[in-house]
Amino acid sequence: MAAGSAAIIEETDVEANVYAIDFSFNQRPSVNIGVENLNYTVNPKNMSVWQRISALQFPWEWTNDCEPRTVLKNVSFSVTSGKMLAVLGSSGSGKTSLLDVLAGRNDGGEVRGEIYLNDVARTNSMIRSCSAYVRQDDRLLAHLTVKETLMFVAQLKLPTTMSEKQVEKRVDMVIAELGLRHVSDTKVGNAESRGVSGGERRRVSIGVQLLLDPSILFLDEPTSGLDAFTAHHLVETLSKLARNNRTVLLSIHQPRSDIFDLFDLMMIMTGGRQVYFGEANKMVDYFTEKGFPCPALTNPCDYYVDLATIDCTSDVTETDSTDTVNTLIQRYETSRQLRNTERGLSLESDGTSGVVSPDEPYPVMKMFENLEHSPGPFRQFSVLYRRCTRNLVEDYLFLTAQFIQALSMSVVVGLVYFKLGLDQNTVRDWFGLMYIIGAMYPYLVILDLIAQYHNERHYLYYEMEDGLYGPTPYYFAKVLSELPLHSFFVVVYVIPVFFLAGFTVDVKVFFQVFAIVFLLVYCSRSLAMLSSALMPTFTLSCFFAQTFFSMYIMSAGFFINLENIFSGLKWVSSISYLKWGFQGLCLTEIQNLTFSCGAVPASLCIKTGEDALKLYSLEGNTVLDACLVLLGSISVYLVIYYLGLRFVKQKPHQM
Amino acid sequence: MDDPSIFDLHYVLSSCATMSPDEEEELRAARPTLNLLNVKYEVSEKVGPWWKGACFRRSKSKTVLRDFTAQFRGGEIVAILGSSGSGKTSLLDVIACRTSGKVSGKVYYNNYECTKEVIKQYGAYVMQADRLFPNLTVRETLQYAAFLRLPGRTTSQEIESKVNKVIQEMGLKNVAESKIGGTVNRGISGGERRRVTIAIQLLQDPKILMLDEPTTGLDSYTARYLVSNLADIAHNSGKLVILTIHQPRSELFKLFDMVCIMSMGEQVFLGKSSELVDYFGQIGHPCPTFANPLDHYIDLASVDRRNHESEFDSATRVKALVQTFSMSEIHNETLNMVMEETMKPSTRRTLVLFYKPRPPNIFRIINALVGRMMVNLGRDRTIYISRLFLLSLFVPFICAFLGHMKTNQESIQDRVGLMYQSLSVPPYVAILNGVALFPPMRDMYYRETRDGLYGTVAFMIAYVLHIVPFTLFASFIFSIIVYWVTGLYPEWQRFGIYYAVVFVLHLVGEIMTVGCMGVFQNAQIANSTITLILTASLLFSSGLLRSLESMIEIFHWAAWFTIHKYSTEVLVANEFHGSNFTCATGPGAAPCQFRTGDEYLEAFYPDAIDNFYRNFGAIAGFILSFLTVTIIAFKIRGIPNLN
Repeated sequence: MAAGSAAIIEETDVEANVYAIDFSFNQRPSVNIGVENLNYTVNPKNMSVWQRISALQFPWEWTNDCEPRTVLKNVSFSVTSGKMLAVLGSSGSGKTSLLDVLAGRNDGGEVRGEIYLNDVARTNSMIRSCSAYVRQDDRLLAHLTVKETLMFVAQLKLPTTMSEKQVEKRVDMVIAELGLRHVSDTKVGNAESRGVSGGERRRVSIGVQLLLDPSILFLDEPTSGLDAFTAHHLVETLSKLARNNRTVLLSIHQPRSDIFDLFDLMMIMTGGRQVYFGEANKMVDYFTEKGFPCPALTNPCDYYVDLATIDCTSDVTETDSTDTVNTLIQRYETSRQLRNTERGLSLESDGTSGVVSPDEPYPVMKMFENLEHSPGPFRQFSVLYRRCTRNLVEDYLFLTAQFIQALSMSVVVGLVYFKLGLDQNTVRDWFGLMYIIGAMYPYLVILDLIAQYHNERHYLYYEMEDGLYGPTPYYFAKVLSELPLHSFFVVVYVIPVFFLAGFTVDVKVFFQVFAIVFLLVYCSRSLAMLSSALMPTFTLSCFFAQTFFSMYIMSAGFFINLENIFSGLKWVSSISYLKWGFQGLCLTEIQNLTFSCGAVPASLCIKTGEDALKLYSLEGNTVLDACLVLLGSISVYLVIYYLGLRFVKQKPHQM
Repeated sequence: MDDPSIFDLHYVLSSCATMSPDEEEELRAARPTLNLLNVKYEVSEKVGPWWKGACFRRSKSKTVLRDFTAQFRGGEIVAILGSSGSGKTSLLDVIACRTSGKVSGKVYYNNYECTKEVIKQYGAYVMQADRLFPNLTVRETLQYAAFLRLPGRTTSQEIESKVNKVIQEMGLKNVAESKIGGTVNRGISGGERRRVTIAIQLLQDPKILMLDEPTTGLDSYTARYLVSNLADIAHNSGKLVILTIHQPRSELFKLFDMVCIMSMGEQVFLGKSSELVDYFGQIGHPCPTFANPLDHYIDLASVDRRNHESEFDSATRVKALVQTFSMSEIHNETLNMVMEETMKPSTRRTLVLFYKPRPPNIFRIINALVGRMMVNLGRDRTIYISRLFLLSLFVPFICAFLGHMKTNQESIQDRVGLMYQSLSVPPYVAILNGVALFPPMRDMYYRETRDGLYGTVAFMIAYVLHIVPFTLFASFIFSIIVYWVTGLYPEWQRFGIYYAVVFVLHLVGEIMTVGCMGVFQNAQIANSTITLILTASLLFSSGLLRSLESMIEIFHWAAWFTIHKYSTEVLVANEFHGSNFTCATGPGAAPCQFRTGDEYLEAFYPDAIDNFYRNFGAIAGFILSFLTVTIIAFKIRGIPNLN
C-alpha cells in the first residue's frame, strides 16, 4: 500500500498541479451522517463542582434553579459522503452547538434524538475515531514554527507506513494549500512574543486537522478572520476534500457569493431551529416558492440569513421579524413533512434498503476500528518528547528568567553566608544556610511552574480530546523532557552557593549536596505538576501547592524545633520533603564539622557537628535515608499527577 | 520667528477679533477635511534567531505605506479595504499619529499639520479588541468614561444627557442596564460590546472617528447594523468616519461614501464609491453582474502567495493596477484638490477650532477611577474574597505549628521564627493578588493613557487608594489572630504597631508587584522577579537568619535601602522590649543565654529601641518611595504595542 501511495504522489507531481494536496491515497472509509429530530438542551447555570469552587460559590448557591435552554430543536438532515454542508445563521442560532453535538464534543447538556453514521446509531468513540474538529479558537504551541507545528502533528497521526520524506511532502502540500509558505519558518507566537498574524494562526489550526485527513471534518467558522481571497481558497480545498469521499460540515457566517457556489448542501438556522435544509442551488427556488424571492444584485445567503434573524433594534422591527421567522419555520416544517411522507412511500416500495444482511451483523462497525498503522505509544512518546523539548528550548524568555533566577538566588545566599566560619555564633548560621538552600529556590520553582503548566492546558486538553495522543505518552514525554533543563538549573543553583558559602571542598560532599538539592527541587516540581493537574484554575492551583508548601516548611525543623511541634502534627514533619531535604543537607555538611569554643565555657560549648544536630533534633537518620524518602515523595507525587492527568478532565480556564 | 501656539486662548481670541467673517472658512469649520500628501511609512524589524543578540540580528526595513495621497471630508464615511497585510491599519496609525517608524509626507487636518495634540483633540481611535470591565453595566461604563473624557467643568446633568445621547445614537438603549460580562459570566453580545467601545469614543464628540476592523467577529447582520449606524453618525453630525474592513458585504458597499482599496501599501483605487465600478470597467476589469464589487476588486488586488508562479503573476497584476491608478484622472483630481487645499493660506479664523478645553482635574479623575475599580471589584466575588481573605489562609498554619508560645529560652527561637513569617507572608500573598488581579486594569490603563485621558500618577494613586481598604481588612484579620493566639507581648498598643507593620508590608508587596508588571508584560516573569527581590531583601537585611554584623560589608550598605531592615527592627523591639524569659534549671538543661528580651536586643539589634520612631517613619516613607518607583517604571517602559 505504501508503494501504491508513493506512486500516486509521483503521478500527481508529473501533472501540472504540484501544490494541490492529494487526498486520494489515504484509504479511509466513507461515512454518511443522518440526523433525526435532534434536540439539545443545556442549563446555562449548570456547572461542575470544580467550576463552582473556582467561582467561589457557597454550597447553598449550588442550585440549578435556572430554566434549561433549548439550543437545538427538531433538527433533521442527512449528509452523504462526498458532500459539503454549510450551516448558516446569525450568532446564537445554534450553529456551534450543532457541530459540538455531532462531533461528540458537547460539554454537558441533554441530547435527544438520533444521530446515525452509515445508518448505525453513533457512539462518541465511533465519531471520534473517524472525525476531526476545527474549533473557533486556536490552541497552538507558541514557540514552534508553523512547519514544526504541522510536522509534529503529522508524525503523531499519519500512518507509520509513510516515510519521513512522504510526511514532509504532505506537510509542505498543506502549507502551500493554505497559503502559509511565506511564514512556514516563523514562530506561531502568542500575546507576548509576536509570531504569525491571526488569520495565519487560524490557517495553521485548520492545517493541523487537514493533515489528519479524517472521514468527517467539522469546522466551526473556518473563514472568520481570513481575507476574502484565502477564505475562498480554503472552502475550495474543503470542497475538493469532500469530493474525495469525505463528509464536510462547516458553520459559517457571511459567506461570499463565490463561496456559496461551492457548497453542496445548505442549512439555515435560527434560534436552534431549521429554516432551510437542502441543496444549495435550490435554496433560492425554495424561498421564492414560499413567497420570499431574493432581490437582484444581492447575495442570497446574506439575504436569507437576515430574513431569519430577529431584529431587536426597535419594538416594531422585533415583532415584524419574529413573525417572518415563525412563518419561515412553519413553512419549512410543512414542506419537510411532505417530503418525509414521500420518502416513506418510496422506501416501502424499495423494501430491502434498511435491512442488514445476517452474515455480517455490524459491517460498519469494522470500519470504525480501522486504525491501520497509526502510531503506537512509543512513537507518540518520541514525537511528543521532541516537541516538548523544542517548545521549552525556544521559549528563551522563560529560560533566561529561570536562569537568572537560579543564579541570582544562589549568589545572594552565597554572599549572605559568605565564607561561614566555625565558631560558636555560626552554629545557627550553618543551619540557616541549609534551610535557605532547601526552602527558597523550591518555592520560586513552584510558582513559576504552576503558571507554565496552566498555559499548557490550552492545547493539552483539546489534543487529548482529538485523540492525538493519550495521557501516558504525554506524561512520560513531559516528565523526561524536563529532566535535562532541571538538572542544568540545579547545577547553576548549587555551584555558586557551594563555593561562596565555604562548604567542605570534597567531591563526595559536593555530590551529596547536589543530589539532595536535585531531588528537593524535583519534588517541588512534581508538587507543582500535580496541583496544576488537579485544580481547575491558576489561583486554586497556587493555593493548593502553597498550602502543602507552608505545611511542610513550618514543620521542616528550623524555625520550630522538631521536638516542640504540636504532637498532633508531628506526622506532617515526617512526610515533609522539605524536612528531609533540610536534614539531608545538615547531615552531609554539619555532621563533619568541629566548632571552636572561643570564650564560651565548655559546658555551653557545642564542639562537634553531632552535638549541633542534637540541638535541632535532627540526629538519627542518614543521608541515604533522606534521599530515599525524597525519591519516595517524588514517585508518590508523580503517580498522583499521572492519575490527575488521566482522570481529571480539566478544561483550560482563564488564569 | 516666534510661532504663537494655537492652544493659547488669548492669542486665538485676539486674532479672531480682527477677523472679518469668511464664508468659506465658516464651511471649513463645520466640515473638517483631512488631507494626506505622499505619505510614506517605513518600519524596521529585527529578524533572525534570538541567540544572535540584539546587535547581530539583521534589521529589516519594510515600507508599509507608499505615496499615499487622499482627501477625506467631514460628513463622509470612508472604507479602507484590502487583504491582510495591505497597510490598512498602518494608514490609520499614521493619521492617528501612533506610528512607531519613519513617516514622511504630510498629513493635514483642515489646513493645519496634524500633530499628536490636534488629533488628540479632534480624533478618536477605536481599536480592534474591546477592553471593558466585565462587571460594570453599559451605562456605568459610559458614565465613568464621560467623567474621564469630558472637560472638567461638565456638570453631572450634562454628563447624564451626553451619555443618554450616545446610548441612543449607538442603539444601546435595550442593554443600557445590563452588565458587560466576561468569559465566565455572560453579559451583552459581541456586537453590543463593540458598540460600547465605539460609544465611549463618541462621548467627546470627535471630528474624525477612526475604526480598525470594527466588523471583525460580528455576524453579517450585526455588522451591517453597525456600519449603517456609523454612516448615520457621519451624515448627520458632519463627522468624518474612517474604517478599515475586510470581507465587506454588498449592502455595505452602498453605505460607504468613499472607498479606498489598498494592496501592499499602495493605492489601487481611491474615490467615490459610485465611481468604483466605472473606473475598473474602464481599465479593463469589469465586475461580473451578480458579484459583490468590493469582494471582486479586493481579490483582484490581492497577492496569491500559494506558490511562486501565482505569487509572481498576481504581484505583477497588482503593480500594473497601482501604476494605472496613479496615472488616472481620479487620482490627479484628488492630488490637485489636496494641493489646492494645503497651499491655501490659512486665515486666523480656523484657529478658533483649536481652542483646547480644560481637561478634568486630577481629583476628579482619581475619583472616577477609584469609583470604577470599586464597582468592578465589588461585583466579582472571586476578586474581593481573595483580596479580603487570601492572607488569612496562612493563619492556621502559623498558629497550629507554633501554638501558644511559652516564655522559656527555646521560645526566643520560636519568636524569631514568627517574626520571619510575619515579615515574609504578607508581601508574598500580595504578589499573588497583584499578579492575578492587576492585568485587566493595566490593559485599561494603556488604552486610556494612549487616548490621553490621564497620566500614570493619577492611575497609580487611584489603584493604591482602591486596594487600601482591602489591605487594611486583610492584615487586620491576619494580625489579630496571629498576635493573640501565639501569645506575643500582650498589650494593645504593641498589637497596633504589629498590625501597622503587617499592613505596610502587605501594601508595599502589591505596589512592588504592580511596578514589576509595568516593566515585564509577562505576569510569570514579573512574579518570579518580585519574589526573588523580596526573598533576597529579607535574607540580607532582616538579620533574622544571619546577624547583620557577620555578613560582608556590602550588605550593611544595601540593607539601608530595604524595607525589611526597618520593619524587622520595629517588630523585634516591639516584641522583646521589656519581656522576660525563664531559665531552665537542673542538669542537662539548655544554657541560659538571655534572661530578658532587652538582652537579646542588645546582642542582635542594639539600636532598635533608640531608632524605633525613625524606623517607623522609614517604613511609612517606603510606601511613598515604592509608589514613586512604580510610577517611574511605568513612565520609562511606556505603552507597549497593543495590536
